Amino acid sequence: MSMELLQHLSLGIQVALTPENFLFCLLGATLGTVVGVLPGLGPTTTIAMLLPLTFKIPATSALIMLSGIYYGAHHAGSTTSIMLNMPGEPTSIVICLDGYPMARQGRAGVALCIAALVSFFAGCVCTVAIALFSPPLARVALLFGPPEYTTMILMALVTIVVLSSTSLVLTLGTAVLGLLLGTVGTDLNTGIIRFSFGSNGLVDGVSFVSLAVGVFAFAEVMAHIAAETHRPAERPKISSLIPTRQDLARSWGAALRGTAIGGVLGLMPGTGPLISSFASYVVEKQIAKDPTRFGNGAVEGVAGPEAANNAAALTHFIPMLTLGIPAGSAMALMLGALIIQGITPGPQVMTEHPDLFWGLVVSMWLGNTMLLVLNLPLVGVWVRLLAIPYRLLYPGILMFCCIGVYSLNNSTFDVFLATGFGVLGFGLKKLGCAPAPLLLGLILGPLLEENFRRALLLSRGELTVFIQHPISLGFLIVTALLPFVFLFTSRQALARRSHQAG
Amino acid sequence: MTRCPLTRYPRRSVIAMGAGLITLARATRAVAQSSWPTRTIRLVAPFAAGGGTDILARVLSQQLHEILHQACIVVNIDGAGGTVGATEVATAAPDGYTLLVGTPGTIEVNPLTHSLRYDPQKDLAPISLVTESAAVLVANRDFPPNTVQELIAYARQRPGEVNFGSAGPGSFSHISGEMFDYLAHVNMTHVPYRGTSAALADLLAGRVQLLFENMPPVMGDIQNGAVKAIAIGSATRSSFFPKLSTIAESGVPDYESTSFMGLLAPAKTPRPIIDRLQQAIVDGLHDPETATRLHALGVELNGSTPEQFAAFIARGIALTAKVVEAAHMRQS
Repeated sequence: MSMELLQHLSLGIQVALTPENFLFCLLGATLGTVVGVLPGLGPTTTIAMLLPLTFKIPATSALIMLSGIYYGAHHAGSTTSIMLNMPGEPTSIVICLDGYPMARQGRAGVALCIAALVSFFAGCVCTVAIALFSPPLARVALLFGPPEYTTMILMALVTIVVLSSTSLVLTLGTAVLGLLLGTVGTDLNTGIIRFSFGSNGLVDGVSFVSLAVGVFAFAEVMAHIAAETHRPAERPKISSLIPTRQDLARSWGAALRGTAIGGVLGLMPGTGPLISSFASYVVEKQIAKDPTRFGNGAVEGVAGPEAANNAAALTHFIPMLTLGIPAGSAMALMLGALIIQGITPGPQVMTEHPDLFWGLVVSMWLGNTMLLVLNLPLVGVWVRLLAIPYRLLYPGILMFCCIGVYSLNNSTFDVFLATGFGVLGFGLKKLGCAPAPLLLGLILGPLLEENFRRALLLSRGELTVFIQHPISLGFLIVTALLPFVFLFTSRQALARRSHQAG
Repeated sequence: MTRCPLTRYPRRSVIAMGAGLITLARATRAVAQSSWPTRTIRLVAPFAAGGGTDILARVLSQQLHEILHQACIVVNIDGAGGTVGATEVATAAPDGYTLLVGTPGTIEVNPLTHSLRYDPQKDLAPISLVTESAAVLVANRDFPPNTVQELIAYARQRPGEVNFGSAGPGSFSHISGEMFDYLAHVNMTHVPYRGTSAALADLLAGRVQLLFENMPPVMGDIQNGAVKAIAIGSATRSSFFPKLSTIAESGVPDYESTSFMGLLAPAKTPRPIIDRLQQAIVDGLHDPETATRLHALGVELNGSTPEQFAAFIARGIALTAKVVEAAHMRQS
């Protein structure tokens, strides 16, 4: 077995280290970094545009490049979250919560370094997981049906209250507003269009990217302009770029836990990196000795979710490679690139095309190394972003955001929608509400409804289906216990604080 | 007194001038056509990047680009099940620079289920039916029936108990399943998913027993035995699985469900441009590399004339209308 694995790996190394494949890997990782950094512009659009170019190159090289774009974008999405409080990719929303406060304390370099290091760590671990356990792990994906997804999403929604460090009422309020926004659009079961007010732009629901760019990027710019009218915005000083021993000590465990969470959740084709990154955040906050540090620049709040989102981005490949089930449209495009070249995805890929499978696995490790080498020196460059005068930086940000939102669906409506959400986001900021629950509500609401109704359709209306499936029952029990755990830990924190004070 | 400016000229010369203008206009149009295309051609794909038809459209655009020596790009305008993109093309300038990648949804189904701002047979001019892909009836490996006859008997004994998945309401897989219900007089439960891959995952896991999906997304799973193919939905047998009998020959005579990808233009597009595009498509399909690529994706090449495509559409709309009526799929 191990002998066989060594043979496979040496084959993979031979494939991945040919000059062409090495260059394709570098090209993919670099492109991924670029689209990851630009808010709105995502890997799917990029892969779609490059797809015709891959017809003329070998399947293995094509897949190496396209997957490089995919994990590269996940790797780099956190950069703007940390520097500017604007998530470059949906998966890096959670990084804003502590990454941006770190930047404001002058620790942007530290946050970026930690993000690059834990991404690399998660990437290496998950590459090994793909190499060793792909076939058995693929079966896990099929264990998750509508009841399991329903209760998992329910659990995620309940944990949202733990996410925010502001008041419970405000968090619940913004999450519910997000859920309500999620009801806009075509009902999946009947095809009836809800709350579109005759606008074609709303028939498919509120665009997630519009909301994210609006409440994060646009609102941030507005808040700065509003602040500058009476005093010049304070510029965070850059104290150091290198993480301290304490930073590393704190990140180590968070990265391990984040990798485990992301690696497992990434196997489910329906959920993906987003849930994993915020699940990791909740876990870190729950087990922290002093949860009040979260939201104020806790390094674990960057390390855990960043590891989780990169781990999930890689294990997402397992259902695609072994079952032929793509998790999301970027994966579907990669699958298309393979099929076009006559390779049928499925369990036989590993045996019939070992060069492709193992070449990809080795290239993932190689790509992650390249990303680390690429990103660490870039930390210095990104940090200097903050030295650009705001009067130049902000118009630039607005422009890139508009291009990103527009490019997603060639829709000016989405750009206007983002502007509207910018105003909403500014209002929320003034009220002291965090925007993350709003976004999570918008994403999870429709998923919850869809899976809940599908579960009931399949069970012919029997609600007991949720307790008959063991995994689903497990999620329900955890969901029921969560509020108590939350109460208990916050009591403890209160007691400790009053103890310290007294 | 206001004078009509024309009265200053003798009537005969006005007529002559008018005729001259018309000739001039014709001449410039002829020039415009002979030099078409002079700028980028946009193929509007009315769905998000990444779907099966999106990949087909990209193969086609690459080929048109090489044959017409002009940039030819796929523009994804997703929304309302393809309605947004199709409406945009239906109302675009008929100059041959904005074309629609047409699929059953935008051409046959949506106009029957929703009130739309375009009529697919009046506002769009067919250019060519590029590719076809038959519906395949696939089942979970452990599902007892192996033939259409066995399935009908099985489903009649258990009304409402057999589930068929689909890629969403109004999707090709939905219509194909409802068509079976309607023509075979059975009652199965429709379970909609968001896209084919989610439905396929639950088919593999056995949560839904059947899926009526067009060939490309299920071909691999049939080949490697992950799912069981029961029959094919086209009028004739498929070249991919010649041993697989058609649903029509297995006791549901009128059943015909074939997905397609065709190119359409705004209605008043000049005929020479349409012919030029049709010829380019035929030439493109004759290119062995393109043919291999498209074949690998699980589609049959067609390359019909505009008239054949129009007749194909008319036939599809007639059958779909009956299914939509029977399954109460029309939204008020």
